[in-house]
Amino acid sequence: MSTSAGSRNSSLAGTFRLLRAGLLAFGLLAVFGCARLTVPQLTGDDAAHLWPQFGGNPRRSHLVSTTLRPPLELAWQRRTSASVGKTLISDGGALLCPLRDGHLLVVDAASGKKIAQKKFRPGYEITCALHGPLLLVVRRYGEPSLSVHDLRDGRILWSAAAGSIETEPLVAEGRLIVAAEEKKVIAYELASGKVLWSVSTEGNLRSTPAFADGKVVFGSDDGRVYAVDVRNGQVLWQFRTSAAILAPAAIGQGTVCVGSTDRSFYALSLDSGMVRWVFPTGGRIHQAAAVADSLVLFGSNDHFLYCVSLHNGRQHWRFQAKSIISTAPLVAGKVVYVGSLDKHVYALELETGQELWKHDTGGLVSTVPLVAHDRLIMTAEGNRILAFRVKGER
Amino acid sequence: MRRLYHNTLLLALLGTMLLLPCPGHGQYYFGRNKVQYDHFRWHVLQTEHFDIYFYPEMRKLAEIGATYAEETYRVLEDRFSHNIARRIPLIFYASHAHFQQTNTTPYLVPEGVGGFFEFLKGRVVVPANGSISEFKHVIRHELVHVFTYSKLNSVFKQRGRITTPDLPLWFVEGLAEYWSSGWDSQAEMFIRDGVLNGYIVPVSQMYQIYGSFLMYKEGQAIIKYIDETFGEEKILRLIENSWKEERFADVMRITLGVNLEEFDKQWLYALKKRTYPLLERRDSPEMASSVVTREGIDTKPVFYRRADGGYVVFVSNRMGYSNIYLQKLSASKESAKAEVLIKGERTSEFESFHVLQSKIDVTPSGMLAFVSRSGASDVLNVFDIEHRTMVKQVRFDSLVSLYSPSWSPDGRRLVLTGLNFGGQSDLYVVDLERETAEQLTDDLFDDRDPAWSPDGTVIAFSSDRTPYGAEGYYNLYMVDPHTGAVEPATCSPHNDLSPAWSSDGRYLAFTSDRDGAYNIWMVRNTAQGAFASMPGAGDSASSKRYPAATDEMDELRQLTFFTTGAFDPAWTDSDQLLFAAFENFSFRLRLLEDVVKTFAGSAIVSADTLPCQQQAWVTREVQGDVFSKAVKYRPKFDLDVAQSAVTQDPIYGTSGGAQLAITDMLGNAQYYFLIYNNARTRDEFLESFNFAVTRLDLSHRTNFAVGLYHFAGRYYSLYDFFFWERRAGGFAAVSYPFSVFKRFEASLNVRYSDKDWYVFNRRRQAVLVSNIVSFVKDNSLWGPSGPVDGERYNITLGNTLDVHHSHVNFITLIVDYRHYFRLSRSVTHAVRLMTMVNEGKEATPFFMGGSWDLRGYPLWRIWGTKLALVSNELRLPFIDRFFVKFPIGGLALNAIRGAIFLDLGNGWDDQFEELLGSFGFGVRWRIGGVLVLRLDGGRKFTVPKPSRFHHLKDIDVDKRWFTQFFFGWDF
Repeated sequence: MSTSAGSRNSSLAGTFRLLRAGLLAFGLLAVFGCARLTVPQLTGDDAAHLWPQFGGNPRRSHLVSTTLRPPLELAWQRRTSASVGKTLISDGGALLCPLRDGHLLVVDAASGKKIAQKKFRPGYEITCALHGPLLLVVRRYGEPSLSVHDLRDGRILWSAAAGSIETEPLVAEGRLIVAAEEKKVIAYELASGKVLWSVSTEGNLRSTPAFADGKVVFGSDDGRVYAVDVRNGQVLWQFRTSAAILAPAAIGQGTVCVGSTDRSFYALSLDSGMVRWVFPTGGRIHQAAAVADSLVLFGSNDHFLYCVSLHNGRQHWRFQAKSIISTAPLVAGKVVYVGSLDKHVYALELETGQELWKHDTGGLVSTVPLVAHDRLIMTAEGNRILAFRVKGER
Repeated sequence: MRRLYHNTLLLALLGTMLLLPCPGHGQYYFGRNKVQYDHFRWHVLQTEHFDIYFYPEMRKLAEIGATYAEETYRVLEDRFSHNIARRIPLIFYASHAHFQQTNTTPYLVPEGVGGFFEFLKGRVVVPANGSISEFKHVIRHELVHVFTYSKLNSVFKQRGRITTPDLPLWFVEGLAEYWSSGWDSQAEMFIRDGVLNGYIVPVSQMYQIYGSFLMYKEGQAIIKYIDETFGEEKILRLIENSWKEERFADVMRITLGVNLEEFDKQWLYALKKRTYPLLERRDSPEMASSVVTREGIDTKPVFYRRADGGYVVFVSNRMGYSNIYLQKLSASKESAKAEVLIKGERTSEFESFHVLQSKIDVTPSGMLAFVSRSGASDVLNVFDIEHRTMVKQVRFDSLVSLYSPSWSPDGRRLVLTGLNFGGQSDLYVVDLERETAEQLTDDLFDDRDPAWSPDGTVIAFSSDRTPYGAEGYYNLYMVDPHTGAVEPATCSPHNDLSPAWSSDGRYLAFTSDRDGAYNIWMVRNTAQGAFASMPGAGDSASSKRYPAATDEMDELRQLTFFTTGAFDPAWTDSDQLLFAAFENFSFRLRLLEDVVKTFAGSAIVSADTLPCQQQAWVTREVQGDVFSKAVKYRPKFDLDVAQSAVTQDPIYGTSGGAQLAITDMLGNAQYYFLIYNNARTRDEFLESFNFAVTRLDLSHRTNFAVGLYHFAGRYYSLYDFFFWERRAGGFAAVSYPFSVFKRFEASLNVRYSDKDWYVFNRRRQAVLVSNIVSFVKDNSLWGPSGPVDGERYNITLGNTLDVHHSHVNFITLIVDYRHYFRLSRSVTHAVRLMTMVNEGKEATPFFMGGSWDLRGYPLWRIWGTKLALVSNELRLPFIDRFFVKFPIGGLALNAIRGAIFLDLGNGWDDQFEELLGSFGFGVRWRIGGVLVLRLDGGRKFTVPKPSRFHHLKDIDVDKRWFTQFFFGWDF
């Protein structure tokens, strides 16, 4: 492992993370039906280890500053009652695993020990996000499809029926924004649940929205990329591709990066929606991109992970797996982690794409890897969560 | 549109319309045989995702198939966004004749089955049959099934669900067809016909046509509609959303945003909107041609002139079995009666005529040439129509399958399509006198439907050797019968099939889907007797010999404008064309008058101008010499079935057990294990351990079975009452099929038997040896509830002897003969004559009574060491279709059959005393293809003096009516 801080700082940070994990656990226990507890703010200054929502932040950049330098070794693994959905959430110490059977499992990222578990009835797939002391739970099916829980006292602050939601929730500007499958993006006031605005599209929505510079950006089954004003939902621009957009959008340096099932990857101006460049691939693109400084990385169903310049779309390198790249890449310092349907998770050199390490999980990988508590967390088919640490470190 | 596919699916149609698979085969009392004519030297090749099973003779095809399977994998991986976590076994056969020998399924494989994916081992089994494009199509079709099944499993497994529900069959098959062949002229034909004749069934009522060929085609049309209306991504979404709702109708609602009722409304409206305008410039065949035949599926017409007028010879399955018929061409609107010339599908001589694949031909002198499947390979038959005699039957060692013989003008030679052991389809010229076949073409292209020109200088045929052949299109070619030089005649991304020369050689009629449906087209050569070659061929004008649609001197015109389809045109000698028209979900023969005049009045269609002289398409093959890594197949066994059960019986107490079936990948070797314990007390536990192990070897023509067993326990029979018996021993059995229909069986069973009739305080021990031989025939044709045509019998002889103590010594004779007289298409008179005799010391009794034999009597309450039974049954339709609709779906009661019966028989030991009988009426309802429910009602009667059976007054008829409900197939 290499971090910018020294070992003493690491030790302190570790203690802090454990403390936060404990606090989170208490809060979740409260949510899950135990005695009410008052929990202070969970998310502290250690922003490098926060992963409160899909992509790590509203821009969905899939970027953490911590580098776990391979080779890695298994730290722990555990089985779950169903597989983890598209994302894991972490406050750096505790790991929130929304499962596809409606359970939310909370484990200690360091040890893998279960902290809490709750089933959100009627047992349909869920996903979630954290915002300070608030836990935002989205059900893929069944109503209410949205609920906000206060981890400090376990209360359900509010809930809403928005229909089936296949996307990940977006928290930005004090709003909870969801792209509901039934062709509608809705912005709720996070504190009260009041609907601030909603905007309709022609196609169903399965592309997770991203946010930057006052704009919410998302794709649609109608093949369009939409940018709307976060304040009022006004559509600022649209851009049309030739097939449905299922991949989440990512934003970096004023550029919207999104793949389409028309097999091309698009870079659009966040301000105007004008095309900056288009990168054709050999397969449909279903996964989100990672944006790291001047690089954008994305996988395709053609088995390749591409690393291209954010500015001009020129390819820096590409890496071929044995099957579909099935997760968004995670850029952790100088290393890229990505999962594939060939059952492997790969670690690649960010600069060159050189393979540094790979691990056969024994099953299809479909959840974005995550770094939490100096562990690389991944999931695999067969309802397993695996955590790796740098070889030789504890 | 691929021609072979067309044929394959039409064969399936034929099967689903008229026939049901015979449920039994070699290992049962009756049933047809799956004969292992060939010994395949199986090899295994590992590609990235597949284990390819093939034999060296078909290596080239296996290379093409393996390459295409990997290409398809990449395509489907992208489409499904899914990867299969295991290696996929892909088993190839070079021909359908070889495929029918597969042991990967226990069932007989009809000609209409193009391949299958089975769930137990995840095997994909695909035959080639001459057409590479069809081979590829089936590979992709089956792999779509593999991906669908795996994706669905993954969706449910990820959500922690143990069981995965089935998707509707219309969706699964429609998706496989749509994602393997898209939309083609054949699918268009069926749907147009369905819309115009009003038999399209909406999704909400799909149960009415469950499992039928129509359901498959509708499924394809529905998936196409979803793709075009809601977007392609919604197709996959239907699978991904299937966990959300239990009913697929609800999955459709949440995925497509419309409820099923609305979906049906929109879909049917879209079909009508697309189809009805066709009538503005097209006609149904019925409205634009003369009727020739009116019943059954009639195909492959050919004209024959006799002294009393013109006749048509054709193939039809109008009575279930396929026959070759002769029928006078009638001027009246009523079609003349057809005479059966050759009876097919009853004997090993004519197992099949390849009904929808192979044409027939007649010389002016009445020599009918046709091919038939006969044992391991096909036979060319020449039949003298006038004398009704078979003149010649020729089999060629190197050719497995034969198709579409066509006479040379001198009547001494024939040209036909032959498929060799490796699956390559070429043209061959047969010298009838010398009985030799000279190969005319020699490549992997599929050469079909040859037609010898009247002047004998050229043979027209259909082939996929144009550059469009890679996409599955067939065009017309000419080959010089002397040199083998091949020239293209048409060239377009369409299917030009079944060329037929006019008697003067000036016109070449053929069927083509150039306008989106199969219609009859014609080429005329303007230079008398000399057709032109393709421009750009490098030939000088003086060397022009063949018709070419592209040549400015020749004319290509559309002759018919049917909404559905016209196939296999055949000239009469009076400016007429006979053809098979598809209409109202069937094929009927029709006649087109004034052909030349119609041709003259038809607009010239733009000529083909495409570069068919360019190099023909080349199949891609596996990169590198990976086939050198193929290894000889070594059987590896894994589990097919494992099940266990615990039972509780008030008399026999608790017993528990398990059974396992283990087979190898090719299904040639099979092991069955049975183990259970029926101890009533702890002391009995060890001695009540029962087991049986059987090994079945199906790899050769002679099937072998050996086994060991130990059975001990308390038993009860009506004859022996309560007794305890231990039997321990082994057996060996062989079965040799003479043909699909007949076989010989023999078995030897040696066991130690310790039997204690503890109620009667009697016990005996014996070492029993049983020798049994049987001869079995079964060519029966099955209807919804049982056989409706043909015959079957089982003659069994045996003896059982106690070789140690001589306590037991008896002989066995069983004669069971059943004949089915087809009175009409839907009425059959079934007769059964059966006697069973065990004669000797401790002879085992037989049992009878109940719905399966002597109706009206309690089940198996008539017994004796001798039995006799005569059954008569008139099988007739009762309710053809009856639909019950519920708020959540519906139920289709199809083909409920009726039966009027008369049974006579009894069982006895020493003295036959009286004859028992019954008569009455019954109904049979088949549920799901596996279970037939039977309800009989009638009166029983007794004949105290059997010799006076014909005196009605000596028959005692029971005054009470009986009703009896049970299950099972008709005898």
